Amino acid sequence: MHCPICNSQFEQHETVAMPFCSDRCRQIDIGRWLEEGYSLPRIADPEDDEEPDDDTLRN
Amino acid sequence: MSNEESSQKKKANAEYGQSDLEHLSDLEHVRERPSMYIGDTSNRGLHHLVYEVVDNSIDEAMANYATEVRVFINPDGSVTVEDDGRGIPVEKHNQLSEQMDRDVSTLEGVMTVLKFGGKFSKGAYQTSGGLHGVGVTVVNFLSEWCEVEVCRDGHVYHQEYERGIPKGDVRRVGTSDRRGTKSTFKPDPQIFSVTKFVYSTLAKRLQELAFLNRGVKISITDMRTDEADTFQYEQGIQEFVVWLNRASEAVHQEVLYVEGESEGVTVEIALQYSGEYTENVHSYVNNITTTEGGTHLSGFRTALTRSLNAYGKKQNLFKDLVPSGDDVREGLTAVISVRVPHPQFEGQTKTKLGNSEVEGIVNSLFGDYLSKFLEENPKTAKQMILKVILAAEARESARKARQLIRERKGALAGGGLPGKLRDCSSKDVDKCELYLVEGDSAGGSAEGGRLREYQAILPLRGKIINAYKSREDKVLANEEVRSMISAVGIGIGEDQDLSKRRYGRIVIMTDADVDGSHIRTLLLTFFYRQMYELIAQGHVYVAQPPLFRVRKGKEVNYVQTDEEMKTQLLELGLSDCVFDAGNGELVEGERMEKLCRTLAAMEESIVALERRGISLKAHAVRQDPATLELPIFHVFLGINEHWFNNRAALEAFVEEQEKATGKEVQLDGGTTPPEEVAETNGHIAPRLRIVELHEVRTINTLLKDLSQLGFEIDSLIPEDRTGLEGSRYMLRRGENETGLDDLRGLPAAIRAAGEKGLQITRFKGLGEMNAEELRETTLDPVNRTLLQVRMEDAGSADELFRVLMGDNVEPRREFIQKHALDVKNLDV
Repeated sequence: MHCPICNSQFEQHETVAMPFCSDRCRQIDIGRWLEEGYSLPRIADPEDDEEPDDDTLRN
Repeated sequence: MSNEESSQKKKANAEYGQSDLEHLSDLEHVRERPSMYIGDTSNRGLHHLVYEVVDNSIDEAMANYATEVRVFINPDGSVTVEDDGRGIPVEKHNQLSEQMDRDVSTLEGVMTVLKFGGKFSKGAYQTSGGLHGVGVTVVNFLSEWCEVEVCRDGHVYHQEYERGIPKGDVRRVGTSDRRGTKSTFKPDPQIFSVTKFVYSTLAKRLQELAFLNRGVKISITDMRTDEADTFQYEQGIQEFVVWLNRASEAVHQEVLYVEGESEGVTVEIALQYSGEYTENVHSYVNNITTTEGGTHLSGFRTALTRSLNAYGKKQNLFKDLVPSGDDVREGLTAVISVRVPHPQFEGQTKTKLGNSEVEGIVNSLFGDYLSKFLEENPKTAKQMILKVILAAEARESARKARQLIRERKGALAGGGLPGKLRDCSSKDVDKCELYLVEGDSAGGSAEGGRLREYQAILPLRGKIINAYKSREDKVLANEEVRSMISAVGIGIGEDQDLSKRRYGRIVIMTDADVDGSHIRTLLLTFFYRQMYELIAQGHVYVAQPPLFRVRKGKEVNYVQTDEEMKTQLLELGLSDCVFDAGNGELVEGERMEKLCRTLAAMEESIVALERRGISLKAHAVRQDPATLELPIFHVFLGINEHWFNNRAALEAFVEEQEKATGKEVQLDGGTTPPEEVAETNGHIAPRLRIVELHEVRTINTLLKDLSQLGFEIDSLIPEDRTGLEGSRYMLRRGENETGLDDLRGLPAAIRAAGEKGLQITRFKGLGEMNAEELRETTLDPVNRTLLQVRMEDAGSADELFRVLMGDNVEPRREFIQKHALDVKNLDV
């Protein structure tokens, strides 16, 4: 497994903080959630605003 | 004791005058209060004796007179320390001889007079270790017996002592071409509570001394067990740092090292960050461990924090968090070794350096070095700064998490659940469900449609932020995260307690579009990371709201996916359609069904091909008439393009090229056609680009099926026809006829036929469904479908999240483009 925070490799039985390598990394993660540090891109691609399947459906 | 010896001793005593009494009182003083000189008389003090003797030899080595120090633990429990230095002077010492009123060798003075050592005469050694000059005299005083052998000027000199008293003068016992001093002593059991030397204790300190005095070879041999080690480090404390980090992952490859001198104080510092969370700093003054630190350490720390912070700020590497001294020390492995002419030791155990001038010297020397290093090594500098930022973030996160837990405890005491939560009335946890609903309007519908007794609704909204100039990002607002934590009830991180859960099922309900799938990914990642147990025990589900409402008269049905909708329409259309293949041949029944399914399956692949700018018409020209296959590989080499139907043909081509040019063909690694034709340069062979048209594999398979049904590829391409002979193909359904120019339009025509009499609504979001619809399709356990989230699902959500979150712009952009068209691939 790779820790989502520090990217170090570890085995599941070696950690007390699944899916992190350590409680410390887990804490960093909660910190990031709380300060809205995790964001996903909104798709700006114009094709998404349409319904991609609508036209093929009604052809 | 023999008579001769006895009389000799008597004689010696008789010759002792007033000054001898003083020296005798030295001996008595040391033996009465040994702890004042060596700390204690247990294990630590015992081993300290060896270090005192070794220190003298190391001084010789550091002054470049000796190359090697050898330590032996002898079978009888005594210890021998030997070096190849100049040897302690043996000639008559005038001052001492005068005092004692007899001829006294310098060697005897060194062995029997406190504070006699060469270290105190200016210039003999610049700085030296040893316990402030008490050195070998104290070792002699505290030994049951001691003997010293000096090889000097071609002769060997020898003297023996018993509990510090010489058993005769220094005697010349022979010749030798060797040089050096060899001391053997057996600690006095009258003084020490333990007298057994521990090999590993000695070896550890000797190794440390070898690190601190680079180049000096120190060996230890345990004659009792034959255990032996030799330590020698040309890189000194740099190698010490590497050795200290041997079991850790280094954050950066290079060990930073600086050496300098100012006002007679020499400073040596080596450091490297490791992935550990603790500090591992060893500081020394004149080879003595300063466990309590002192001015050299504080000078180092101040400079480290100041230089790193100055660099990080200048390079704009800190966002809003400025690392503290503690953050800078996390994962730091460092060795600080200073040599100070007149060290002052303070503190409980006298292991804290007190010289105030040292602080400024270390501070400016190390600060200058580090600032310069960071400027000149931006890669290493960044790795160091990132490590420090992570430490700062960890500290800040820990504080926030503690605060959150405190707040939650306070909130729970006051019964405070999130204001937006519409809780259920039942307290039967296993039957209760929490729906996390995307958007307020959907939340409203869900609240109206829920089964009030068992279903709770928590509406969540993605918050839009401006992440970069041209991009908007969606985050889960702080408030939403807190609401979720409170509502679910099991806590987070270390404090997770599954038994405190307030619901048996947590159901994620989001829109069936890309945004919805992103919010679902965010939520699943959050649960996976912070409420791992909830997922591990199978408490998390994903709702499956319908995408279509299909109304036929008074009958209403719901369809969940595009694919399913298409299939349903095709089946409805097929039931009463007849296809006229143009030549009077009618296709119906089973053959018609097969034809439609083949065409429908091909539809997507042909669209994919056309999206590459390759029309089916153009590609059909390249069909192999025997196998009916279309080329799968589009190959660019210089200004030429080539097409190959399979890998074997491609490989044959590559081989041919290699034969022709005599060189191995180089691939340029691109997967899309080159933007422009590479300049052909006569000297450099053009590189090969292979574009694989994956979708053609599907098309090829289906073309064979199509052929068996009696149609070839040209049936898929409109014919160039003149005149008005009417349509090439005809689809008949009752009285209705639809003309078709090619077969590709057939599935769509059949679906359109199937749609007759139906009223189909595509829901653009959950919010478009009214409360009743939502209840009927998604909330009511009788009709709904829930997907239970398994560990793998959550894990792949996390993977996806990492790609989407990642710094790596290219895979991220690629991923988004690829999946933007295909929402179902984002489903987890």
